[in-house]
Amino acid sequence: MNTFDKKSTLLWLLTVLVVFLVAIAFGLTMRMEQAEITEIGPLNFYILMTSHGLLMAGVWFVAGMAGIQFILSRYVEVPRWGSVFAYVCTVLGVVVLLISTLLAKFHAGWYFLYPLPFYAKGTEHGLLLFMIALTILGVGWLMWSLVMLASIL
Amino acid sequence: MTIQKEVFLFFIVMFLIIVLVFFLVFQASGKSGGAQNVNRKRAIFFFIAFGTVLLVLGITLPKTPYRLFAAEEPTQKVFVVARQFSFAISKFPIANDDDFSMSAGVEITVQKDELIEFNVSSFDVSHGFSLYKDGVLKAQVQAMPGYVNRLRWKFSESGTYDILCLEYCGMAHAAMIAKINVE
Repeated sequence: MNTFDKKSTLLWLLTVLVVFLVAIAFGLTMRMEQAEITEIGPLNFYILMTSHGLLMAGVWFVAGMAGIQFILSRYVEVPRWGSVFAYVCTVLGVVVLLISTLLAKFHAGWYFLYPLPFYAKGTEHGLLLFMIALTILGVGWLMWSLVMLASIL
Repeated sequence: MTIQKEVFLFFIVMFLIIVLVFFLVFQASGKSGGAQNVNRKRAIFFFIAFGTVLLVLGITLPKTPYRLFAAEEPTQKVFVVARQFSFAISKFPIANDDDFSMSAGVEITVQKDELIEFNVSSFDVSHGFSLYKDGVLKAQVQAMPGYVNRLRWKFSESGTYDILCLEYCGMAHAAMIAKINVE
């Protein structure tokens, strides 16, 4: 194992930790709203619910990716560009995702059950940004999976 | 015991099992056993896990709600249409917006111990149709646009039941409540 593998794993895990803490903060705010300690209103509540759900699900994937890549790099040569590409896509995807929810007010839930996203009025830009964010994340993670598979084979 | 308490107990048990697994992994992480020993343990683990899955499926599958009262003829059909953010419930079919506004907010009454068939649909997004008595969930089915889902149910208790939406359907989802009376 070389220093690149160690450093990139550390970067992955630190990023996961930061996103995890943000998602926890969103979850706590939702709990406080339910307990009537805060008063952010239903729109902001569902904006946070959408962000919280996707960030938590994403953290789960990405932490697993970091762990698998770390263990894999002991046995096979993992191409650096695969790791860097997936990392850039993940960070970019999360940023666009947060813009689509927090700024463009997309709030159709973290599983965006069809056709609800098309019925949330005033959030058309949010829907577009949300779909772009999921595409960036999906492409990044799919490429990562293919790179890992190729390095084993 | 209410379903909330059951869920809470289930959560606690699952949580303890996860903590136990983490503890065992942590304890075993220092030791290095022979490969043969590990393989044997793994085989036993998978055998037990597979057996548990089969057992749970065998016990629960015959009780699947999709086959509930399948052999009986329903005495009463009730038509339900959901829309952001209300329900229309009627003993007559609800086909359009006029039917919907006529039935929205109207509390119908059905008979106790009779087989009721709810025909549930939606005019816009996916909703949920759930029957609650005193805060306890009794039965539920999804209300989907373009589909009619059937829920057969016999009410064993009389009184007023709350009908709540159980699928997130937009900003006023939490306020989407209707009522049905059972005599």
